Amino acid sequence: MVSFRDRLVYLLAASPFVFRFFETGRWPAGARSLVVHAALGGLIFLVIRLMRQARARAGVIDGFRKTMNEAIVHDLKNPMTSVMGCLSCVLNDSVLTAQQRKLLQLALHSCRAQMVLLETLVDTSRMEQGEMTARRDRLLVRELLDDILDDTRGAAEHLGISLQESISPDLPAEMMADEGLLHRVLCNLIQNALKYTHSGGSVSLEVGVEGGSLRFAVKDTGIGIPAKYLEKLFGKYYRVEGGDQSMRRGSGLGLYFCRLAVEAHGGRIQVVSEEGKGTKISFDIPGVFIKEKES
Amino acid sequence: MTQADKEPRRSLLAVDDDGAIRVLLRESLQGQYDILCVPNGPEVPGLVASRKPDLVLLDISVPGSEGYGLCAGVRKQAALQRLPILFMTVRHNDPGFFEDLGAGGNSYIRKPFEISRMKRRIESALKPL
Repeated sequence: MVSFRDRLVYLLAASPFVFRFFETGRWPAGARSLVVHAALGGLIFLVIRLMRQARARAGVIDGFRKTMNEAIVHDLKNPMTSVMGCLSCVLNDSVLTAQQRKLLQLALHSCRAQMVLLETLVDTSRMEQGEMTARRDRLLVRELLDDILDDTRGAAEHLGISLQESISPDLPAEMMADEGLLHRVLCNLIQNALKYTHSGGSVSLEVGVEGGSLRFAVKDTGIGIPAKYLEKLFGKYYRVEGGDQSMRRGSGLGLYFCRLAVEAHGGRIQVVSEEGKGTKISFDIPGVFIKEKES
Repeated sequence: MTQADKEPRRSLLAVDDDGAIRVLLRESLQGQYDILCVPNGPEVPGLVASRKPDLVLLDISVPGSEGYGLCAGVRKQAALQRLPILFMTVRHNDPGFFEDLGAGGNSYIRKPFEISRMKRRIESALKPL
């Protein structure tokens, strides 16, 4: 809104012409055009002020959104730490009946799925807003792969699917990449592969060196993807039709997030699939090497 | 007596305001380590200086939280500058976190974590440099 001060300025600027009009009954020569110009100038000035105020409000809302995101993430993740930690502790260190182990694994698997969805939602939003980019930190490759297989092995066992790894012998010991993003991408791809593979099938994580890049691939023996869906596979909210109802659940954000994360590293993600035979999703991460693998 | 019996157990100090997480860490790690779990508070810097743990597990969750102050305070003491500190955090993908990590943590583990991963991180952090 126009402040009192600004209104006073406008009034004072127009006042000589107004006094002249009341004195003579006519507008002074050139006054009409001056009044029009002043009115236009005032209008432009008003629009600029309103835009600045709107931008300031948007900044306040954006700051509030970020604060709420951090608070929500903290309040959701801390209790989940206790739940997942206790479940994994009991599963690792206790003597359990087969039924108890199965139920606890199911609970842990559900918690993991919950966290994957939460993190995908938050991280996708951040990447779209430009608030998150891929970092280049030193990370231990074997430790990353162990973490990923640890997080997904339980789900694979529960579903009766064999989870394998195929690691190139010339894999470097360390690499420069964003450990959090890579972990998320590969867990997403493996979880997806498990979702679209029947019991008795297999999912494998392949890691190799290609030129100056590390190449990752997740390959499954699942239902495959019809060719007509491949082009849009990494689009936002895109879900492939096919398979039974239980296979189709999901937000449609997982592969979109994977694409954003891989492209943030300067890499490219690809899919090769054949209906009824399986799917292979691969991506490369360029410029990652630090030192050779120790023999 | 085996070699493992002869070696003194490594000691850990875990600092987290969440009571359930303190119980989880104590129950899951006390078989392998001497672990003390405490909430963050004014007595903690003194505990670190007096007990001289082999590793500190420190919750860093909210920007500007007391965890950062504790870490900075520990690093100011010459005797504790090489003390390994492992951040436990829900923050791992926002831009400010890694600048904060540079304020004194050696590495971090994301929450929620599973115990097997925590144990690997601890073993890695306790390896001699």
